[in-house]
Amino acid sequence: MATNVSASLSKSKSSDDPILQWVTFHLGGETYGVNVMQVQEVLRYTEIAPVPGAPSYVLGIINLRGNVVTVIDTRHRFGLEPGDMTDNTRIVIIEAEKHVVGILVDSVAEVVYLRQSEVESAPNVGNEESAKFIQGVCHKNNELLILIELNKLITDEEWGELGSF
Amino acid sequence: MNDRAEDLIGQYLADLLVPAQNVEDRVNQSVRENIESSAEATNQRFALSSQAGTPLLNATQSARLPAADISVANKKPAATLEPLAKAEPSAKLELSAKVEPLAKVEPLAKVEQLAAKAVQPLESALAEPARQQLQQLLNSAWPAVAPAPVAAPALSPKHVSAVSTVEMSEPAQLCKLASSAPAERKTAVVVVPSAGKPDWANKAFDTLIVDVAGLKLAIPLVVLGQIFQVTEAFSHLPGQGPLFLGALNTPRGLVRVINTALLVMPERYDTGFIDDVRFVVSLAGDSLTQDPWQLALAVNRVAQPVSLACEDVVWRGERSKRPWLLGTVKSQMCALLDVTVIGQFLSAAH
Repeated sequence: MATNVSASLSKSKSSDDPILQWVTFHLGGETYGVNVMQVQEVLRYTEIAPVPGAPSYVLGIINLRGNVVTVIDTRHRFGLEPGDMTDNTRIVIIEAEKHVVGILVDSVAEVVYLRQSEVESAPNVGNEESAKFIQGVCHKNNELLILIELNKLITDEEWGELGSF
Repeated sequence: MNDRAEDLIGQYLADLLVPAQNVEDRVNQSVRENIESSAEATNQRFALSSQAGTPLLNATQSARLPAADISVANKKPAATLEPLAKAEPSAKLELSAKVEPLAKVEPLAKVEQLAAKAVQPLESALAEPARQQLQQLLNSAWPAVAPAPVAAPALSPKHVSAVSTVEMSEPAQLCKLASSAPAERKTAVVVVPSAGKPDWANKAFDTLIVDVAGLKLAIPLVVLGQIFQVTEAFSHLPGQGPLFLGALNTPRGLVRVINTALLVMPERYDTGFIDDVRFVVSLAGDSLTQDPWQLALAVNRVAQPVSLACEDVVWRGERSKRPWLLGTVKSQMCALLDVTVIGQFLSAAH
């Protein structure tokens, strides 16, 4: 009886405070996380073909098993200085708003498990567009993890622009 | 001197409290005329002129009376000067013969008292209408509180819009302004704009002196949270404005660190400031930003706290420029920060 109560309490607690999985990556010395459910795969850096007339936040396109995938300049999008490509550079293929794109990151770290209660709300740090990408933050293992809202990474208008490639 | 002579002198003074030079001229003239027109006074001319000279002198000295008295006397219409001629009947000249002993006339102090007496009735003669008018003038001269400054600094609504009604019987709260209030106005209720001065500054308060890129700044302790040493790099947050250095994890949680040097002196900002940031000072008064994250000021050095009184600060009234500057601490020659305004400023900027 007691076991049942404890199990139901535990179940109730977990439903109130769900555990989420986040794929973390490094960019410009910071650690970011994206929801694992939106990550399709992680690719080593391959040559990215630039697209003439593309917006500044677009690095170019890659051929992923016969499909053309647009690669986003994540540094540019997050307001960071341009960086060099290294052996650790990766292209993370994500799905956002039913579109598939790649984001270029310095390196991919790990998959972390976070309780919803561990996630703090995003601070008010600026009025720039990129500020809205932050879903929340979490301080874990002496490291600040910035959780990204991928669905806000690209606006509907921008999706329209990308569709024309 | 007999009573009549005193009355005469008093009458003189009462009638002649006009600008000194005019009095002198007119009295001299009238005395001269009277002397010349009186045949009986031929032998006593010298004595008469010296007699007439005494009140003349005193009338001149009445110019030394307090300015307020003189101004009151000057308000007497010129027409009142005319009785001057009347005051010199020849019969009165005979009087001077009786008074002869010049030594009796001489006590100037006594005559001055008379002069004061003579002024007294004049003041009372001004009586109610003039007195009220004078009072109105004084009232209008008193620092009238225009509501204009209230609306001016939009960035500091809390402080600047706070127009406090203060009893003049509490001079301590009004600092210099109150100390200059006349005693008789104690019961008057005067609306005094707090300008840039927050409520906590009405009594002694402590400040922490910090060094930001070579500039000394004073932060009031009432709005100060904790001081943290910077042991790791600030975390850059996507989209953070230029005024933010990033996030810093502290024992009290994450704080947003403000680029203090860029905030207070953007025209002289040197990017080298960031490399020398040793401490962050979190602010307790940032609830106005409606953000759960605490604000913290990046500083290079932290000095000792300093206790200040209201009078130690030159408070700013106009905050259109540099709204974060509450005033200047005279003893330390440094700027006193208005943290509340900084919080609002950052919120507004976003």
